[in-house]
Amino acid sequence: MATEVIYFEMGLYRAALPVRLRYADVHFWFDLEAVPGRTRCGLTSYAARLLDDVFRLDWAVQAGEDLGEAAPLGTIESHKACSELYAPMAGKLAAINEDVVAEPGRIQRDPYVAWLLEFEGAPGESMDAEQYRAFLAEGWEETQRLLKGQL
Amino acid sequence: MAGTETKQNGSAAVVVLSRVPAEELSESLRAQHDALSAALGGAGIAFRVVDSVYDQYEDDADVKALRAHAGDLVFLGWHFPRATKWILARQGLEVNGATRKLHCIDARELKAEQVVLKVRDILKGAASAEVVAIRKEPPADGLTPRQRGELAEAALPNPENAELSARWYPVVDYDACTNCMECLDFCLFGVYGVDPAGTLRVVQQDECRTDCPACSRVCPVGAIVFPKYKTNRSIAGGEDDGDRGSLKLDLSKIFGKPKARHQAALERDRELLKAGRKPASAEKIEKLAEEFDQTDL
Ligand code: SF4
Ligand code: SF4
Repeated sequence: MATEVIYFEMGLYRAALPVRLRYADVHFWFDLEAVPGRTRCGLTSYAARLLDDVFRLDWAVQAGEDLGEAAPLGTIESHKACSELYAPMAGKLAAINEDVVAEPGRIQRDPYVAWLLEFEGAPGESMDAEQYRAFLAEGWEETQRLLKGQL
Repeated sequence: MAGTETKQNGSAAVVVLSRVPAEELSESLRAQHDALSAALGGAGIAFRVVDSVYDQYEDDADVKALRAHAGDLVFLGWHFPRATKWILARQGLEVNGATRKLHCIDARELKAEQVVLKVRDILKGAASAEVVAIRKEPPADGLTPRQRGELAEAALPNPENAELSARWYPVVDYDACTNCMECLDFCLFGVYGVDPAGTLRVVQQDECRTDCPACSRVCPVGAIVFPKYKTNRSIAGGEDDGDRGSLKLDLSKIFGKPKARHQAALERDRELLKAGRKPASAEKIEKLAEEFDQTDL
């Protein structure tokens, strides 16, 4: 099955956005088909590119917890950046991908395979690839300003 | 006779005075430049005036002339000496050559008389054995740069016409660079590249985003210099006080930049937790969102 992909241009880098996935504004993708009754999620290639080589993923949450939308999840760290992560949807956290915790570099190598979390149910709100791309385009100037301002 | 000529000139080194970079609006720097020019003239020191080398392109006249000059150089510029050195290197000048001495003076923080004294000292030193040794080994055509007419001392034909547009790009300090490629990996705009020998190079300098000094903080050894950067001395090539700002980008605003309604949910959840209750369910948040959307902000 060929996976259809659209791209967002980040300078010279093209962030791939598979069309079959849904997206959250905190740069997570949602896969509603991977596990019945659950939403699998991970970071988009846009996020992976901003972070680069992730070497640490530190979850402050556990499977089984009820999370509100945008609840703090923990921190992610790469050689050049770090960030708090926030829940892309509300719901019960069903699973954490321990393989990626053990080998966080997979996020950058294959962001759409290296899923991070699974939630029970479906997200209340999400974007399709086109909408997410438009959202990225809208925020790109500001993102660059933010990166520059910090640096 | 070479020996006599050296004495007559006072030295074999060429003194170069840079104009103040085009976009530098500070009147006082321009006044400093004029004062320095007058003081050098008054002290009988021959010098050549060039446009800001940073802003020139590699085939611009001044840059070509400087490249063609193989001997010692006393460069009076308006950046930190380390920045000036690597700007000149970037423009194709041999800066670490065994036979050439390059003296870069930052004229911004010195009075004209102080600069003249420094130049005098350097020129005195330049009449030493080392320079004579260079003279003993003339370039292939046997002519000095001056004889070739490449380094006339006259200023450019019409200084008033010399309107360079401001540029913005990094120069790499190859005394420090370890060729680790962090910067190449970091820059999103293709500013960095690698030459056939595998050395990190600034390949598309004009792709660099104006006032973005981002990669200089990513470099583990502080080898990336933005000569025009105003707010941080180390980044501009000044003494490295190690303070290039925090090395890590905090992307929390990007990953967590919750929309207003998420923010509300977040705050709401905190309050709920404080009150010993479970966080709001999705339905509650939807409702909250509606309320939020109705509030006039
Ligand atoms: S300052 Fe920014 S745009 Fe310029 S080279 Fe560095 S990372 Fe690239
Ligand atoms: S990051 Fe610094 S040391 Fe590494 S290649 Fe770039 S300039 Fe050189």
